[in-house]
Amino acid sequence: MPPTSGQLALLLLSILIFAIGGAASVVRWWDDHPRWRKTMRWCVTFGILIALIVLVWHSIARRQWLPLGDNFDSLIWMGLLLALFVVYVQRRKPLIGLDWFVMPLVVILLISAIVFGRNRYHAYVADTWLWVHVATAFLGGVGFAIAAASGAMYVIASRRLHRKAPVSPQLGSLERLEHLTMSSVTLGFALLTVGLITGVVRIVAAGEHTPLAKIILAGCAWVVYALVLHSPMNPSFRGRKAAVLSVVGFLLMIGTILAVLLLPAGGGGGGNS
Amino acid sequence: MLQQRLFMLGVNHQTAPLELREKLAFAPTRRNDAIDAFRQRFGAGCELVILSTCNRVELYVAREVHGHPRVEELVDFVGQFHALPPEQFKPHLYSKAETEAVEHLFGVTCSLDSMVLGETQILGQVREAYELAKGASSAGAMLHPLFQRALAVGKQVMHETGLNAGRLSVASVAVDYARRIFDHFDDKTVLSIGAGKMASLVLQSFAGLKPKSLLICNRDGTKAAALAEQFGGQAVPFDALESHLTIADVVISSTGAPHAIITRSQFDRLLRQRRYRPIFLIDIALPRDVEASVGELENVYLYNIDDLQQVVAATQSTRKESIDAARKIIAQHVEEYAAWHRTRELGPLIDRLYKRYHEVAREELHRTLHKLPDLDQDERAQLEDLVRRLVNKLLHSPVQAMRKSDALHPTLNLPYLHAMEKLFQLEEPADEDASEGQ
Repeated sequence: MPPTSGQLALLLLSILIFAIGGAASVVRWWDDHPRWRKTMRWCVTFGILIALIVLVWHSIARRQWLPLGDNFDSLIWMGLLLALFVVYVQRRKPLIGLDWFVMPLVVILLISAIVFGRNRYHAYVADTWLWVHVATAFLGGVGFAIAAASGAMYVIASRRLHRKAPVSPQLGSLERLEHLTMSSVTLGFALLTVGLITGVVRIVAAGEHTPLAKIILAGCAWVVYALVLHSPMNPSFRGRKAAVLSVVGFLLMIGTILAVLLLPAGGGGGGNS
Repeated sequence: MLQQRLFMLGVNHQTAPLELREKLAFAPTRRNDAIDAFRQRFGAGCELVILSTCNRVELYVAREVHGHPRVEELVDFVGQFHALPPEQFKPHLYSKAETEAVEHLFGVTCSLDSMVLGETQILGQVREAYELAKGASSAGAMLHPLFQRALAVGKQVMHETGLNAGRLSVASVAVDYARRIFDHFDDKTVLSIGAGKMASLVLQSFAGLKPKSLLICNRDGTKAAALAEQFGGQAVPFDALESHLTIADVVISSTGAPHAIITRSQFDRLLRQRRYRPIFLIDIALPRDVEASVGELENVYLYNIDDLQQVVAATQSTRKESIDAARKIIAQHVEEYAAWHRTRELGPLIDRLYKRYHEVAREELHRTLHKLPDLDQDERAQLEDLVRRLVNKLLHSPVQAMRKSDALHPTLNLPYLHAMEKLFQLEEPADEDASEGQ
């Protein structure tokens, strides 16, 4: 069931609040006053709450409590998980710079949920293989988004260190960023692998037609992340190279998601994964 | 005008890059040779103090008014000593004379000219330069009191202005950068190559991070052992430097080696052995211990003394009040020094005054005597005596007033001296170095 106007309006409010929180976080680059930290915290908390209300409302409306049932629901979940990750990191050991990269992604994902939910809404067929495929693909995407954010931060911080420019503590240490990138890529890679396997199973077993671009992009992303993960064996890949690859991998993942959302899925399954 | 001319010539962190400063630096072991060479060339009457630190190389010279060296000759001397063509460093030089040179030295001693404002190390470096010159008998009547006063000014400024309070140090900036690279230090190895004063200062900051191990590697094993004991580290042999570099995460290098001890080709090899783990190299030596191209390597973060000091310098704008107070003290001392110096010149000035007026009187007397050819010898002597007594009487009161004022208020006497020079036209003929400042 496509989202109602009320759900869309509420989600729009959530986007606005997240955007304000993101802006407050960016302001901290120049002015690290506690008021901006508080603003950011409140905005993210309220943004998450409102997005959760939208999800509950949407689940009630479509009478389906299983998450990731359609593209509207999946994109909100993806944005929500990213926002929750930011909250977790900032509570455990703050890494202010993470907000600057993740919050825009959250906003973009929620806007995508509105755009695609309204104009190109489609529900995924509720079979287990497909649900596992969608869940692992989207959750993998969350992991890769975090890896891309920390990777981008690593590239910036490393570049500034090489140029002997003052490095803001808000970006965190290279060691921590590298650790965050590798952990996120490991998680994302495992989920993506499951997603690819279940996708292949569906193509073979159900004879579902899937856009070629989606398969190629997903395959390329998998190879790129495999390269990142092999850096402990080939240490010349560690550091900046791994960070750049994690950003490239995420761009390929975005391409894959866009292919899912934009390209027509043919074939027998009826659903679109 | 002063009987002796004071001037200085130098380069500092603002006028010359590190590469040039290290070429022009006078290593402690060569400073005596430089002083000897200077005196051989310009005579033992000339005074010289060499101030050579990581931020500056400055030569303070005092010579007779019409003596040598002139600025150009000093440039030539520096070039010859370092076997460098003067064109290579001349555009980076600055030169100041007389009061400006005094003011500059006082500013340097107070760290106002340092990259790290408020650093107290410069005070020790100025003292060391002065002691060395004193030992070599190249600090005499002019430079001896000048440097003593400079040290006193430095101390006063540090005590009274709070210039050295709350400052960032090179060591603290290095630690800050290390924190930008590493998240925790309990599994890291900090290696110090060299066991000098600077190494000790930086190590102190890194020891506070509680690294897994602290290694001190020095040619002189006893020094390394002493430093290791101080910080709970371990002294390791210098011969095995490469293997220490393989395990180190932070390297502090501060040896007095005249050439690089860590090269690019060496590090290319080491990087593989290190499995490309990030390494933070802090090169605080001058000449540098680490080839600059090492810093271009992936996962290698190389910072030299200039890089760190520039960060420290960025904090200086917030300490305007202390700077203003320091400048006030310096201005006062410069004035006092100039006054003291001029009063030292009082005797020669009075001599010149008498000489000049007796000369004028003699000329006038001769002219009169030409018109009176009939005067006998006795009458001529009477007239000569009259003129001499007249000049002496006329000058007696102002000279006495000057001497009295000098004894009571040496500082206030300065305007009198100046007025006297102007009114009686007692200035020395213009010296060709008079316009050499800047």
